Amino acid sequence: MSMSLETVLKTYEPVMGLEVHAQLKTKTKIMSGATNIFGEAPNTAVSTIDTGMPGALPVLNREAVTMAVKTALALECEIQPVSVFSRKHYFYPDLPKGYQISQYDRPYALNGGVTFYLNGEKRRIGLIRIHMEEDAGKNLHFDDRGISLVDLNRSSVPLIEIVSQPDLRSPDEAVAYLKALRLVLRYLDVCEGNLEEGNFRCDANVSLRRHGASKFGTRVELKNINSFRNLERAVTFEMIRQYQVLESGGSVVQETRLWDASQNQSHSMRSKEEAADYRYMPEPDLLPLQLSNQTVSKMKADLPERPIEKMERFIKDYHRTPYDAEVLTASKALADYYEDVAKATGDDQLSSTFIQTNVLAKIANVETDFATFYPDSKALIDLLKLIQGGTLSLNLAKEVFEHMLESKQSAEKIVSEKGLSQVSDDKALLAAIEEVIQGNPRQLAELKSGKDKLFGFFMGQCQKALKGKGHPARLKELLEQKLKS
Amino acid sequence: MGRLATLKEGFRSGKIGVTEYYKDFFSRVRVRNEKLNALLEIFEKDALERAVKFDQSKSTLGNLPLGALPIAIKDMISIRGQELNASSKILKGYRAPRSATVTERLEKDGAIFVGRANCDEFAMGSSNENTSFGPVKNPCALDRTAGGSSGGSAAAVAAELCVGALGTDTGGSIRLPAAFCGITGLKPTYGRVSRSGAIAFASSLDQIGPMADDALDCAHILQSIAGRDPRDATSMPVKTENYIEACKSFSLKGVKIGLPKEYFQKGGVDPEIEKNLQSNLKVLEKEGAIIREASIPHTPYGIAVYYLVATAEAASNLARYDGIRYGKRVEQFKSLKDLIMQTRSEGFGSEVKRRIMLGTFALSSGYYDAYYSKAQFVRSKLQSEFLNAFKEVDLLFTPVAPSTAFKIGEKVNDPLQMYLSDIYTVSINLAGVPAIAFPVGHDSQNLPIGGQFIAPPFAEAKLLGAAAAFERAQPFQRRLAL
Amino acid sequence: MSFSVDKVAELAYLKLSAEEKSAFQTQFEQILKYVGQLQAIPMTETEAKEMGEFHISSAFYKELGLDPSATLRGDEDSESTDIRGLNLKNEEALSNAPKTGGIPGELLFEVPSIIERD
Repeated sequence: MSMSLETVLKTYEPVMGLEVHAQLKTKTKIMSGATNIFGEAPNTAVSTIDTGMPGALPVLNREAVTMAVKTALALECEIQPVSVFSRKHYFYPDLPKGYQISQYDRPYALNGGVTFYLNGEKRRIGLIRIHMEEDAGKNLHFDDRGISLVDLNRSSVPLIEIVSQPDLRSPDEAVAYLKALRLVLRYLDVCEGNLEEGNFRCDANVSLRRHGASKFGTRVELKNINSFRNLERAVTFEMIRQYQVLESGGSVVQETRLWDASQNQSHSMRSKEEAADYRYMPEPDLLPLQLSNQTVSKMKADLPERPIEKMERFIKDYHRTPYDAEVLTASKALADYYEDVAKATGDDQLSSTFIQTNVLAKIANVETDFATFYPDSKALIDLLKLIQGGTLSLNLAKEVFEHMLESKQSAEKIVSEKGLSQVSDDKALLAAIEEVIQGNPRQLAELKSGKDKLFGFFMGQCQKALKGKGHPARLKELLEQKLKS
Repeated sequence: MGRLATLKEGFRSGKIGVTEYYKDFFSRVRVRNEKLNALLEIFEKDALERAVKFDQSKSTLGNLPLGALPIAIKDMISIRGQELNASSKILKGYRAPRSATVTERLEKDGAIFVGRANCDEFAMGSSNENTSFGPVKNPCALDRTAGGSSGGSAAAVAAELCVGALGTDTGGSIRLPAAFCGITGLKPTYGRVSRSGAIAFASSLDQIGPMADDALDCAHILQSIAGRDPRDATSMPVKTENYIEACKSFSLKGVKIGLPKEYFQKGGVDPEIEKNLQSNLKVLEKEGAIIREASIPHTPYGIAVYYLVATAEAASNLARYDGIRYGKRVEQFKSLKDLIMQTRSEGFGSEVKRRIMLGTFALSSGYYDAYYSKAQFVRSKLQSEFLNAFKEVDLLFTPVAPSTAFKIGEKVNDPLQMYLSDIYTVSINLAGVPAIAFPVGHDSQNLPIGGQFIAPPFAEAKLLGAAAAFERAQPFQRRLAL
Repeated sequence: MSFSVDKVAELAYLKLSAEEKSAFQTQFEQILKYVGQLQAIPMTETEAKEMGEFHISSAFYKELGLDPSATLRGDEDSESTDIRGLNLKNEEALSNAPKTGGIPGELLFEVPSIIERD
């Protein structure tokens, strides 16, 4: 039965929250000095600590704390002056100590929120808490051989777990929230934010609430969401699934479901009779973490501008639409690029249009490509100034831009070498106009008799005669004058 | 002088040659160890290799505080490349890839490791009978326990298989065997000595400490191992003192010594120990100490608190023993879960299993508040009470155990009775303060009686000094049954 | 205060024999009765909350006026060459493993197939 979201929404309101795990980009792990690195040969980035050897003790990585606190500050959280690490116990081969060091009832950050624009409207999703913990190792399954192999390179890599309030009300909103959250992490350079690589992971909690009801419905946890697309699909699927259950008189079972991207559906994980008892205990090997007002204030003062702040500044000071602002702040590198260009040229609109239309078409990864991209902001400024000064039309500038990409030469050099400057001289323009009018008597007659559309034809022919270099505005002006007479 | 200081002097002055000393050292050790079962493994080959190097470079001996001295290490502390079992079947065959910080420091100071000392499995026990490798016999009476859990270390020192040893103390495991075997053992302040590389039993209670003939010998060892270690986040940045000097120069004159009344209840100790305690007080007074009353009101709850906190932490610390990354794994299993469960069940002895069960229960959902959390609360009260007591006095003096060494097999079948023998030691671990057990006499069976000084945090110099001063006033002669 | 030997053994991943189970059941009733004396000690809600932050060393830091943040570790190993956590070689890390898989230099720990999670 094909079912649409609209049908669901007629009767129910989706209530959703996301739990995000973000790996921090420290050089060494959170509790062990072994290297924090992805993709290495198995069990080559491990220590006695993250392999759970007898007698090995955890020591907390200061840089992990700094990154975690900066993130929480950027997300408007209340940093707790004292927080406590706890042991979460369960037996599993990828958990070498038989417990994970995490934070349980005393996380380092509470509350906060993420602000973003969705379809032009500003939205803020609240956070419940953020806590620090260590990642587990990896199990490689070989079911045909009846074995699994364990790689502990990832064991004790630093994680922060960001738990949102169940404020999300649509799949689009969930995706927008996750993107906005990721952007904050990337702006701070604390996390790669790559869902596919697994350094940024997302679980979703979904429930439905009948319109007008006060109580929340039973929520289901969704796991194995490894892309924004899959997030959207998984929560949509779940909303429809729960709708079908409820409408047929059943009740939603509280469970965990795994999203299967290849089949576009979710499967229930083996249900347990009771929730796991993790026997949380404060971690005796670590002291309670004290974060003084002084330390936190300094970090807050040193925070770089956040994506939402930059967006709003672009809207206000550079007169961008929310859409433009969002595009132009997709990475800090891109935002800086735009700002350099807009400031130097004084033309927010031209800068925005040119960058969006031409530069972004050539950028595969807004996070990394600007580091080596040519034309850099300085070179682009030079190019746009040629437009502003009348030397180039927009079309010509695009041509020059293409040459710049290829040759890595400056705009001026290309213009002079290839003779690409535009014709703004009235004499030349009028000569071309005259030539075209003489050469197209039939069209002239039709235009004069009311077919206004043919104006474009004449413009085109004049540009052709001018080899495309005619100054568009002046040409139009002169052509209009000429045709009136 | 104790044998460590004596041997050190002998080596340094050249009066005793290192190679000569070690020539028949190990044959003597083996003969005695046969009777006592104090050492699980004797590192003869490695030790002799190291000893030879000393004679070849006589100059280095002088610069190394523990140069060529034979030290035994409890089978809970890592020595790189050596087997480490925690006296348990589950770790049979395990070799430590790295040394513990303490063994690194001892080695750096020139010590030679004689062997791995027997102990209660995972340091859980008060009599060194909870071991897969046979109990340790008390060198003072071979039908008696050596105490636990560091029974092997104590017996090794008493029987002269070494001149000093490392033990661990979580609820009295250095002090009780020291008392039973007639030697001196010190439990440092929590955070004074690094735990890195020592198999964890109860993380907030464990400390590694020296065991030797007397306070001065212990001071030599402590000097080497004490001090902040960046690998142990619970080791504290407090400056160490000159412990050797303290032993030589400390005077009991004017020192205020408190007697916590909860430790001196009628019938709390055997009558002979009671009598001995009174005579010890007279010795202290004669030396000029001022005896005062003191009180640690929550003392009666110490054992209850200990057996909740320590077992909870132990259950947690032993969760890593699953046969996957190291240790003895079972051969037959139906699934991964079965593999882990069987490995643990076959590898752990019954006392260990008992404590894991108790600890797991104390942490389990629904019981955490009533048991673990409440125990920590009472613990914090104990800690405050000790810290407050030290505002009025410099040291506390108490017995170490309710009795002298009991017979092997006497208490094994009554766990609760066994737990109650820790009554005078556990509260000290719970509070984190340091304490020293030292010989103060014999009972009518020639079994040693131990006395205990307790000091404020990080005042090990005071502890060692006071014990040394007492020894000077009342010298002790160990009576061995060997 | 009901103690189920089976439930606790399951949590602790211990397989007990029938004798062990019955011995433990009796012993635990005794022990739990003994430790149960702590129940009578009153504890307010504030005190319960503070217990979450209790650490044996905290009082020492306070008394001595020392800074506990000194126990954090610098990100790069050079902060202290002493730091134990430097990478083990693959062979070292796997040297005590009962069963391994993979190729030398890239060994992994081998376990029977993991069928169920958590």
